[in-house]
Amino acid sequence: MQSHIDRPIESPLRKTVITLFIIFYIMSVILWVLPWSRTRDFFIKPITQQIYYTGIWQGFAVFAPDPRKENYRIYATIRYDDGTEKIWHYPAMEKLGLFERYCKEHWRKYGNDCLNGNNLLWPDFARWVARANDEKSKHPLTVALTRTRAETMPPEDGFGKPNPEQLEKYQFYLYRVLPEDLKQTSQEILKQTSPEVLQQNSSNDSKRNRHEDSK
Amino acid sequence: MSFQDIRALWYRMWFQPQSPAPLCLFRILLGLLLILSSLLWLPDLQTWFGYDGIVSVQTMEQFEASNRFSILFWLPPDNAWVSKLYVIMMIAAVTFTLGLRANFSALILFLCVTSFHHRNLLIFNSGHTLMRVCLFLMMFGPIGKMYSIDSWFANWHRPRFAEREAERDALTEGEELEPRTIDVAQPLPPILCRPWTQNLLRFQIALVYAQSTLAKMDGETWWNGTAVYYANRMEDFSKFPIPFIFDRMLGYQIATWATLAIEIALWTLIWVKELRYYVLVLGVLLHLGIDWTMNLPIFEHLMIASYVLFLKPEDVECFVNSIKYTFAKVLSFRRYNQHQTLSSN
Repeated sequence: MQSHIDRPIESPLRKTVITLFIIFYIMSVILWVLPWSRTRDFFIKPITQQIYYTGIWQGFAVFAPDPRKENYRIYATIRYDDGTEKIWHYPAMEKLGLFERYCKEHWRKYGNDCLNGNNLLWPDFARWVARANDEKSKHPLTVALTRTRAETMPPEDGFGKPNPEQLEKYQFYLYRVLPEDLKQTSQEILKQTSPEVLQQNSSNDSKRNRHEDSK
Repeated sequence: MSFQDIRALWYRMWFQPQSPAPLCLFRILLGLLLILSSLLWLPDLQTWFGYDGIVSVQTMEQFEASNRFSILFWLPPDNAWVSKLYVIMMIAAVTFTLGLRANFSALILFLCVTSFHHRNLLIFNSGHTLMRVCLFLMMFGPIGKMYSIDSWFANWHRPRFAEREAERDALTEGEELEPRTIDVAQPLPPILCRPWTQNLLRFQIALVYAQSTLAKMDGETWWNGTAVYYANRMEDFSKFPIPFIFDRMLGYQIATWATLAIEIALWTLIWVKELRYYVLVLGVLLHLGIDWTMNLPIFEHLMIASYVLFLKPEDVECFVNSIKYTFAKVLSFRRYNQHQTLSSN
């Protein structure tokens, strides 16, 4: 029985191109994952931008060099313009159900691996918390981000015992909310200010005014 | 070893035709995992990728100085575009899984996945990174040759075409091919393709374990056997407990060192043909164990799915055929039951 083989690959040019691609890929990813050295830097530097741009950058140092030896949680205290306060808790995986925990993996990754230790992310996050907790009757004035923390007990002390309570508290960021922070995306604002919506709003207002007059 | 021998070895490694069954089955598994992983973003799509989300585009650009490709950076700042790109990605993921224009789907899917990953790098784990890299390699491979809508269409014409080709080759000069009908029911000739994409993917999977192990070698806890203890104490990862084994230090030490040993085997001994299946079984046990104790969605499943690439093509074909057979049997049994019910009525 005659087998069905891709015919075009028989071309020597194609085979050469594929061979070069294989060599390039293997060399570049090996160099990429190697620890820093002058030699590695010499070879990888000219192609670093291309590797980042194309999305073939990689890193698989899972729980390395050591797993984390502490547990964190984050919460935000929102102070409103009417003087009231509200606590918003960042999703804590251990407090969620199994299915929810599975679905909220991205929250874990962002909260524990990124937000916790990178001050560049705090203003955006505080703004988002403010928007998410904005209400019609009251608006957030400040958002304070607080971290609770507890170190994991060493094995000799920790067997058979639950993790210690996270008693260490530290407010690591305070953000004063600006009125523009509470606006929705430009497109949503545009939609709200479109002629049809404005017309509808004005007719609603006039109806309401008439209703109040009749009262 | 002469230069000719090296050339022959290189050819055998990357170009000697073989069945693309493992690659095609991996396409389906990767596609399903991509769909599942993308569905997990859906409830928080705008929170993570929207223009008024948790991380702004400007912050992302500051966070990562390197220039990265993302269609979302080119589009106008409107959350509707995020939703549209998501829909395109999901359509591409479905067509990729089904194998409809598989390579084109892989290209679209790769562009969309990379766009989302680069828009917000901070929410993706190693499993997502590996999915993206695998997609990149799969764009170049014969991923739609089997178990796909593409192959179903191709098979419709293939016996006729192949037979006609054979007949044409057998002709002597001056002779012409006689028109005749061809028996479509005859068994199909085997599909053979160059395995370089599959082998690059294998190399990529082995590299995951290589980097993971070598990075752990710098850690004190991996040497003294307490790494699994600390990993189990990370509350954000916690899932189900393992009693008895994890009640004493020895249990943790065995688990830590066994993790290292299996990971090392997965990038060294896996290349020894006689040991490959044993190593894969150990790998599956390792990942199932991690999946039981830790909440690391997608990553464990993806690593287990990637082992398909290391299986012998004939074993994969046998496995898929057995599923087909079981499925057909169940269907025919149901039809038989329906027929019986109708006739008794």
